[in-house]
Amino acid sequence: MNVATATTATPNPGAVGAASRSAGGVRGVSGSLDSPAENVVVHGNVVVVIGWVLWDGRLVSRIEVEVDGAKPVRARTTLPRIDVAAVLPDLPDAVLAGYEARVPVDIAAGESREVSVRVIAHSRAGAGQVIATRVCTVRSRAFDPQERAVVERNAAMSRQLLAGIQVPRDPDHVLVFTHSLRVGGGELWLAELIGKLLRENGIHVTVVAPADGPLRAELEGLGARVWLTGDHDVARSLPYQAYVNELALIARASGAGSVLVNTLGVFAGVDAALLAQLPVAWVIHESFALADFELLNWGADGLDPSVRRRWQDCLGAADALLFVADATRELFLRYSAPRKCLTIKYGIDVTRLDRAGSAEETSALRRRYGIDERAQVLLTVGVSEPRKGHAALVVAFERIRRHHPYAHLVIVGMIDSPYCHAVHRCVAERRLDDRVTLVPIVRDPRAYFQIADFFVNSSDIESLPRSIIEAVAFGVPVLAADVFGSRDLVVDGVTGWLFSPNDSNALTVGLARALDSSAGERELMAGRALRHIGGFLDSTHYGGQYASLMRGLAAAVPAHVDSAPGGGPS
Amino acid sequence: MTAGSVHTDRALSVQVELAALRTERSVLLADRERSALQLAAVQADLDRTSADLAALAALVDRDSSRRRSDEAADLAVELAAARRDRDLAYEELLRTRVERDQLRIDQLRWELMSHLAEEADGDGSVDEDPGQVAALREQLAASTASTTAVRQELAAYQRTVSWRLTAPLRTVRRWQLSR
Repeated sequence: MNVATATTATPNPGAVGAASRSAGGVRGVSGSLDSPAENVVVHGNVVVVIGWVLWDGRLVSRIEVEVDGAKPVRARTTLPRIDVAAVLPDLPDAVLAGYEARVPVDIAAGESREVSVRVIAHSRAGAGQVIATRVCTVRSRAFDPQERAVVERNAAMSRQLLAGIQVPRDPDHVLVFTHSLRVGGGELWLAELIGKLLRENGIHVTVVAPADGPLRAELEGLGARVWLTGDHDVARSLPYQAYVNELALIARASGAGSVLVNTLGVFAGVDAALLAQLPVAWVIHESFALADFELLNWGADGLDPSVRRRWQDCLGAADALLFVADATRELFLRYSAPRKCLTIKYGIDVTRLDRAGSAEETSALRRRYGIDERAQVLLTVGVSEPRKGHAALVVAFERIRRHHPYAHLVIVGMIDSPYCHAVHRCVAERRLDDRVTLVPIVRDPRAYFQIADFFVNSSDIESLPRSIIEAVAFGVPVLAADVFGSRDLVVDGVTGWLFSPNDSNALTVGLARALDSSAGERELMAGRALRHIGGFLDSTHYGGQYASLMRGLAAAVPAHVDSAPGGGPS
Repeated sequence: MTAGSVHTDRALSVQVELAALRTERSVLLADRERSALQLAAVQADLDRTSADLAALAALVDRDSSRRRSDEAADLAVELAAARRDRDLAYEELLRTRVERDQLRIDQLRWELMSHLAEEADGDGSVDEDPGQVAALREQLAASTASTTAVRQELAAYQRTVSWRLTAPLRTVRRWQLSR
């Protein structure tokens, strides 16, 4: 779900007028805080702060949001605001003046609390100013005792049904519950892992997914069985329990010795494994707070409180929680025991990424893409969306372009979306067409890595970005936002460059630092980066680790058990 | 010697022997009684010793378990403290980065403005009106002053105890990573 309603909100004309115009242009701070409104009731346990701001008619460097005096959270900035641009047509930065922050508030089901919201803007020149304050009430839905009783009754009946299924368990058979069979990061990771389990480790795999997608054929081609369940409404407790029961029956009847659950949102799969008394490992790629993840996927107060409780209980009850980055593991440690939380960093198939291209081939590729052969090419790869910060990257690039006349930015990952349209408009209005190349999303970006001098990751949420690993494998030095797993991959000033996320000044300086480096320094840095992640860069180790883990889990649980303790919203 | 006297002699010797055996038996019974009492005493001692040993073992076990538990608790506290220190250090790092970035931004602005001002003073090819050039010069002066102030603040920060205390850690980390 996209909560970036900022693009459709009406700007507050009074707030626009707060700035004054002079011979030198617009002076002062202008903007508005669109959400939350004063004294409004916010449903759920996340305060979504949306607004826009300009300082002296220009974009700010960063915005911080404080809720109830807690540690400030940096807002995502440089978000499209077509509506503001329509009101302020003579200010070219107005079209990207939007900001948004989602701040979780820790309240129990049925609880209500009044909170204060403060928004602080920091200008490019380093000045800070409180630009808005609000008071609102956060209210979380209460449990429904009647529905809860029905759910518990159904769960008990499921346990009786399950007790009648006596299928021998095969420790070499892994049942996988996944969220989707589309082409995306989590799905491609799973396909690669399943390939390794099947081909190199003698594991049989059955995959269960809610809907069909392009990866089904690939998985079946690898030798996996694929079962489609159809979409289920997991947000409400009764359909959730029905789905868990169905998955548990599949799990028990499959004969699998263990269950692997892919992605944070598939907690029904974990619940089902617990109900079927199968050992379960849960792979969590996402570096989101649960409240934030809930908001993004099911809307404000989207999950029934009993389902939300089961989600948290599943995190504690799963036999293993598997993460791709230490920072992500730390985020979830509060829900489980440290010994059950493991970080297994994934690698890539390095044989596919051998940078064999000659200088002539690189020149030819640059000519084909219309890029000067002398250019210093900054590359970023990934589906373009607000969290990737591509608009902010274009703005920062504009700020250093006069200092680095040969710098050229290539963004691979454009799609047909309002955000991408705004990025295109930003490039056009800033007359950067000859210095910025926007490329639609491609399945195989190797040619772009081949022409790159730097790789830039400006995303403000990442666990272990595959594109950074690929860049390192290609010998391309990396400039990345300092978020979660990026820190595991890049050591600032040693193996690459890091900059603080959601801060235009930081990104601009990051670009300048990278572009100022000599070719020799870059080569040294790329070599150190390769050594730094060499321990897990090559993915050949990966399947073996997972096979051992799943066999170990299967061996630790008795083959037949009669009564199941888990399952069912509590 | 008559047959009757022979019989009497034998009966007498048997009675003597019997009396001797009875005596011996009573001595043996007394010995057995004494031995049983000794055995009971030894058994009681043994039981007491075993109980003591068991108690001692339990004590040792409890102690060891308590020690392990104490160690685990200590480690958990240390870990929490280390995480807190790391988070504080990270916040400090972020603040330092903001200052560094601001310095660099000021420098970039200064370079750009100098460049623009030079062009404006020269052939007038820059599309800036005199008001804008004056405004740029004003901003340039403000920027230079701001740069100096921030540089001084940064230098003061780098003289703080926490910065100096963490310097060896930074050096070691860089050295490890650059190997």
